[in-house]
Amino acid sequence: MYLNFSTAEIDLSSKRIEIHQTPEQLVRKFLGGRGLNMYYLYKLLTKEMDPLSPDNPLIVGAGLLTGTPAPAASRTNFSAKSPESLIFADANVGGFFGAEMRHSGFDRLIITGKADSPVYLYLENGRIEIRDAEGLWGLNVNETQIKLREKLGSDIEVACIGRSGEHLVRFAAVLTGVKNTAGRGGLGAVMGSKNLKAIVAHGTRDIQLANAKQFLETLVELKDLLLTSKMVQTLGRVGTTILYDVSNVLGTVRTENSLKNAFDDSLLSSEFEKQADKMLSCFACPVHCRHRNKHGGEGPDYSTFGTLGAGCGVSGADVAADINNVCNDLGLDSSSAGTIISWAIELYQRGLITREQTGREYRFGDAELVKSLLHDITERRGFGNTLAESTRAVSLLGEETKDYVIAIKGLPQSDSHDVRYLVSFALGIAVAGRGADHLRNRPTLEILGLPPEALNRIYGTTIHPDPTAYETKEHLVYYHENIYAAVDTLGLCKFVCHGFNSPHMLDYDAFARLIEYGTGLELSKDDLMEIGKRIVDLERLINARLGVDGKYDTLPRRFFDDPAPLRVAKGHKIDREKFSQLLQRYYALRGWTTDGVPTEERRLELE
Amino acid sequence: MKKIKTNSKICTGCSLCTMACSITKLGVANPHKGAIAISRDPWKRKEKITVCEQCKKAKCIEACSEGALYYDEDAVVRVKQEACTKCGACVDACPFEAIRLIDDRLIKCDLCENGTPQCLRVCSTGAIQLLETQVTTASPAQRGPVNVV
Repeated sequence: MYLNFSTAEIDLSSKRIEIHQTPEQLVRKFLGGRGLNMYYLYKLLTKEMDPLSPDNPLIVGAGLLTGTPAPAASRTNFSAKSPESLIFADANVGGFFGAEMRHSGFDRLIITGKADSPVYLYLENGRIEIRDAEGLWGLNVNETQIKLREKLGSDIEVACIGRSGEHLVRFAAVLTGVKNTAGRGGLGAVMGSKNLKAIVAHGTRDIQLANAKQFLETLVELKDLLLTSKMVQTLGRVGTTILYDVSNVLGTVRTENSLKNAFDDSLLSSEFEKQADKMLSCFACPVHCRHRNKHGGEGPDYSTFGTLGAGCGVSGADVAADINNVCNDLGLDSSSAGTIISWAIELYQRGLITREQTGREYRFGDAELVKSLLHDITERRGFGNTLAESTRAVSLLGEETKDYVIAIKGLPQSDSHDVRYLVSFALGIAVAGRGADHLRNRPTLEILGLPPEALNRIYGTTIHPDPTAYETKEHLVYYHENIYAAVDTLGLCKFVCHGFNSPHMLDYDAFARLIEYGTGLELSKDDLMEIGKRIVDLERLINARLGVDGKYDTLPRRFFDDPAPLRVAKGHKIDREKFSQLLQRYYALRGWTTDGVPTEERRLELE
Repeated sequence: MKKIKTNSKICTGCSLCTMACSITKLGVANPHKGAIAISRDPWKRKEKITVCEQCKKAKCIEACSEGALYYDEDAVVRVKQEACTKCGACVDACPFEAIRLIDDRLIKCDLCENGTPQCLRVCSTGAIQLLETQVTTASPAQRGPVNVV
């Protein structure tokens, strides 16, 4: 069995570093990545803990297969208590950092405390040093990494924060490379609060595979399978920008803070294709969905140009690419940034905030405004200081402003889907453990126009094929949550995962083979599904301990009250009563109480 | 002759080729230990594939005083590991940095003898191709046994 995983506990206050083997029974129960991170968060988080205090543990956990050549095995989870939502934060990132961290000899870092002055961590072949970050503090994401590479060599990988993290912006992110972002929940601010500028990994250690030959053969087979998928082919050509094309026809694009639900053709994937020099991969990924754009950066993804573009009424793929580059360099989570800026623009239009507060006119469609607000937020300058508080700004701006923020559980919605036409998607963002987020479940197969029998086969039950129907939709969210939790423990990207935009791609059986040939651990489909369920349950228990239960599984007011005004979705909104019944069916399917929390029996079992 | 032909312009940087190679050569997954190497600089906006060019007048062979490097019948430069003293002269001599000492073994591309090069099998863009021509420039004296490694 190849389950020798190494965890380092690092206390930046005392400079004490302890390295130990991750207990094998924990690896078997939670595998790695998001799963093990959640186990530790469950042990460590308290309701009283200030997310920006030294006590908050920042956990960096590579997936079980991260760093191996399993398809798209690049992912790493950054987790802690969120300064944005005050529940758990868990952000999954690709790029090359996670693989390099594993090759440097570490699978998981648990970082607590606060350094006296800015530092970075240096990981190399089984040892860790806390080093002075002099000359780095005050730099943004690109310059930080360029400087570190100049100093330490070009074969390092870096996860770092920009100035937004240093200034404790509640939606500051952790980035690695030009664009790869552990975006959600303000983990960049957690790093900033610890005076931790960067984590550098450099290593040449091998990852031993239980059956290297079979692993390689399986990789070739699965890679070939993936490349036959139309979705993979499209992602490899235009990235996630393709999602806008479909959504804009349906009328499911959050536009101008969801006052509208469709935008213009300037953000179609064909327009972004013109902005790209080349498509790039993360570690071990045959999909290569990331643009190297002509404006000096990488991206954008749909969530970014959806929220900062359509969400703010800003046209133009060239403009969106430029704004994306700025946002990434400053180290901000684009999903929150776009959602919060579009919220502020609507508040201004409604007179709920005034020019006296903002110092200038706020209007939709003003690209220069969006860019300057990204800088103001990062520097906490002027009204940017208020917006840097994200949804916490409601307490500064008045309760009435809460009605207009597209957020759930204190987290602004991640991607750009207007959910009024998509009931299962609405349920998905409502119940997602980390707050309004699509990447915990994203049930979109029902809008692909698949034959009903295909849907029924995937979900193992009869599914109502109409995306606006409420019946049976709990099964979609349940299925996707479980498989995505499993894939997040393995360190594989969702873009190779069965059900993510495609009924093909890698399923539990493929995962099981990769795990067996990689580690020797034999798991069945049911075992993997149970691991997924275990993690979803544990996340619920973490939130319950932090005071957030089923009462918070709801939607922004607008999606219940205001019918979508445009296109196929015109006239649709979410029905409160039917939604409430759907929630209860979902809880029942999960075996939770009617309050949306795992039972006491289940809690004891998981502990 | 046979060699790996690369096109860095369409390389996405994923490094699956390097790991397919490290598995084949060393039995481990390691993106730093392949005979084919990928270097990336996201800020200079470049990906570069490095692999043995199977030079017609190979400097590595010239530099080796132990006869540990030789041409096979396809003019592929191969390594006789048991003859190698790990002196590193070939590593210094190679103008392409395509031969390296890794884990006490001399690692260079030998096109995965008797089969398809594994790097080629895992590349998703065609940035790695196998080039085969009938021209063999190596003299018989420089050739060695085909299956000795």
